[in-house]
Amino acid sequence: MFAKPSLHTIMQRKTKRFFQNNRRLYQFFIGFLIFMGPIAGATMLFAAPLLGYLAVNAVSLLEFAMVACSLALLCIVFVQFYFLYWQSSELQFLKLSMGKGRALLHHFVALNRQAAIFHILVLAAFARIEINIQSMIYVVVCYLSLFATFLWRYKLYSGSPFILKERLNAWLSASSLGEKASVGEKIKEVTKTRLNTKLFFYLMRSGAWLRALLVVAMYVLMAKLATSDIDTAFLAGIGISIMMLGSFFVALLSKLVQTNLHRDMIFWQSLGQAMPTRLTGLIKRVKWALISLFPLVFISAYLLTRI
Amino acid sequence: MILSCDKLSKFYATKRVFKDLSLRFDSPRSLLQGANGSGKSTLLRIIAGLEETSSGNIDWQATPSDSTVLIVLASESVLPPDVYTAIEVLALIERYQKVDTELRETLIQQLNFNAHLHSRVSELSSGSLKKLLLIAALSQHSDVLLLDEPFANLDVESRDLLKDFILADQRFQIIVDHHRLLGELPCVAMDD
Repeated sequence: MFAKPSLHTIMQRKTKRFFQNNRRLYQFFIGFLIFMGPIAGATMLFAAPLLGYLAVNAVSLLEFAMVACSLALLCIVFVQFYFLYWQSSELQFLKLSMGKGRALLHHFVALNRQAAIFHILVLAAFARIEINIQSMIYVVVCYLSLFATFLWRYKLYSGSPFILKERLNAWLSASSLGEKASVGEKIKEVTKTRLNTKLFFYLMRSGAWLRALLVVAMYVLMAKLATSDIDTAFLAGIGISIMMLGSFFVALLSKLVQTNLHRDMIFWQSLGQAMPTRLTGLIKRVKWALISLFPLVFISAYLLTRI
Repeated sequence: MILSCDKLSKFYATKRVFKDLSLRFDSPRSLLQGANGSGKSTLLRIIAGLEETSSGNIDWQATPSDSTVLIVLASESVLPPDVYTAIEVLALIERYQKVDTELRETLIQQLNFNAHLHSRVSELSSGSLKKLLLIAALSQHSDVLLLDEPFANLDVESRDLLKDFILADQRFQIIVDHHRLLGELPCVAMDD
């Protein structure tokens, strides 16, 4: 009789397979870590206490809300990296085989083991700030954000519907169709925009929004960097590291969109070869456009503040 | 129109679906026969150009002068993405293919599909999904019509109705139908 593999064993096997399937992406990521890792790490270790300091010294609710938003974004990054290699069918299987509650707990414990850097970030804040009620609230907010994000992504990955998206789809379907029209007229009324919107939502599912959010955050960082008064040498170094990290997120986004497209490729092909070829080409063009936008954002922001 | 398949083989990684399969379809309407798992659906997808063969050739003879053979396949292995509603799937097909809108409207009315037009593909029952696939396939313009178990999961009335529509269709047809509801048709067997 075979013993049931533990979650840890399953994760090890999955990670190995995930590395094999995404070798090029990981080569890029490892390259990034080797060359830019120390800079990114130092920035994070500097930013984390700063975040804690800002939270503890926040005088207005708005300031605290902004810190909480930054924390939520950090949590999304950690949680998303954890769920990147889990598929909903696997999560459902684990839920069935080890029980709902136990599976959730196991995953949360595994996430916490993997998110060691998150704990360092939270604890590093205490190296710079006093231990008082406000700092306690900060820690509670940090862990509540992590737990809430985990529950949200876990529910979504294990197959529970995202209510907001369901409502949006229902609204898109219900809008613009008159009850009295004939079937032919009703079909004609289905606009190109509606079909394209649905296609866009279809391509952006399974976490592509989060990756897109990370790309946007990199643009904001790039613009902020270009408008700061840092030395030119540092400016170039940090700029390149932001661009590399941004390109990594763009590559992740593009890969996910392509995976979503390939899921029903046989149907797209049944509409004629032109449709999948056009879509694949469009995804590639958007990928390169997003990457080339990084230097453009930097140059525009730099010129706007200095001229 | 005649379709010849010459020494077709299909492998998925190490799994063999069929090997050195040679078939000839020379009747305007043929039944494709074979045991479960013999690769009938795979063969239909290959004929429709939706999947590559591992080796072998497919040859269309006596085709129209412009020599492009338009093929439509109705099969549950070619499902639309679940985000779309039935009406959106039909609109999507109309956007990229030529469609007989009158026939489509007749099929929708007679199959009582009106009530399901705004349901998402993932919400349709297997019978309704089959109806959607058949409405889409029968109303599209093409030279060849491939049908994979067209009567599975359908109620008796819908079966009878669709049987008449399929028999009235003048296109070159290859049909997989275990129940033989279309009567005696020339059979092409896949078994070795």
